[in-house]
Amino acid sequence: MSAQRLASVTKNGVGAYVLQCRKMVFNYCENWGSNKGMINYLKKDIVEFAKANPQIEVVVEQRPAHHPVIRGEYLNGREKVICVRNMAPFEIKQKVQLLKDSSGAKMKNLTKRPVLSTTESVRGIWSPFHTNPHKI
Amino acid sequence: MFSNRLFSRSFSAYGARNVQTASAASPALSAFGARVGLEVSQPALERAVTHKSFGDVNNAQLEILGKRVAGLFCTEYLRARYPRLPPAAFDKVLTAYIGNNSLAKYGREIGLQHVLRWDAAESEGAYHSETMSSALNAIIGLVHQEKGAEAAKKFVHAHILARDVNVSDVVKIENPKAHLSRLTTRYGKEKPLSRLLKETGRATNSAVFIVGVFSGEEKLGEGYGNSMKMAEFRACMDAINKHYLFENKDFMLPSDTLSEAEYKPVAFGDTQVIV
Repeated sequence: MSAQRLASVTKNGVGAYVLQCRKMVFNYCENWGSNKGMINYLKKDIVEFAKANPQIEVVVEQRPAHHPVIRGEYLNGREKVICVRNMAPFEIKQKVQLLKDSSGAKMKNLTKRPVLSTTESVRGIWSPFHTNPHKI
Repeated sequence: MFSNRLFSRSFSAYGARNVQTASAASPALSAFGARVGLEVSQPALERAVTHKSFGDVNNAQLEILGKRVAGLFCTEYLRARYPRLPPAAFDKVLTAYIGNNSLAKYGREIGLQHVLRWDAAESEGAYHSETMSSALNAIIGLVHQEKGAEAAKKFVHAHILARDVNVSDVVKIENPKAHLSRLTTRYGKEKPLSRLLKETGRATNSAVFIVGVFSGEEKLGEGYGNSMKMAEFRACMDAINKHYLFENKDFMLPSDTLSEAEYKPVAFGDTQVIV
């Protein structure tokens, strides 16, 4: 009958887990003072990070006359950029971990709806304003 | 002159984007290999992602091997999992897992488009999805060739078969009532009889009827619709789907004999009924 193609959907982690961060670019400047922490990070910690994460392509580029920046590129085509000006190496490490953990998806506001579900409740959530008032 | 050389050298380093070079030491390629869990040599991986339009050292031979390796592991798994699936429906499901479009889609999800080497001008009309799927097939072939059948099976199960395919409307039948009648005859059951189970809003424009199709006391299937005919159709389709989409939960695969000594084959599923 209809020659519709059946779609297959990836369930990351069910079989193989593919880290969504594919590349991280570290930009630094030799002259500006805000880069001090970044330069120390690049001297001390970055090699360890790159060795521990072979699936992330780590690129270090000079970018003169700018604040230090870390750019994460993801498999969904998006990128996340974090300026790490005036940060100490341990703070930069935290930002690097943040970028690694991200999926690259746009940030969703989770404060408005506390419950995320594919199935809404059948009869609605109880509300005191929509019940019968107490009668004496 | 001397200062010019220094000037040009230092400036080429600034803002230089990571250009995809033809060398085997491509960082993007090694990152891709680690991401997908491949423990193969860099030159071999480079060959696997090179389409024949790019040059002489390409993935054409590996693609041939990989296609059949993927075909074998996917087919044996799906036949064991859905033993009664009719041939036409089975082809659809298999294509959903290892068809060109499906593989190309998965390739894009793992970042294959950033390491793929091809020349659009020379590819003689090959679309990007064809080159992507050929690269993915070649990678499977490479794993089989370099690491052996067990590793290839693990790779196919982890990456291809772990994907989700919804098989609920894969069986297409023109006259489900007649088909169901033949099915019940085959299994020596009573002829199917449709009964209206529930209804609402019969005279309105948004009526809902729920019809169940019964073989004697046993309810074979249930369907809804805004006419009784539609509900009966869906009920018969539901019964047919319950039969053909029967799923084995616990089974051994023939390729398990590569690692395990005791093998218990899956029972043959019944063939489809000819109407």
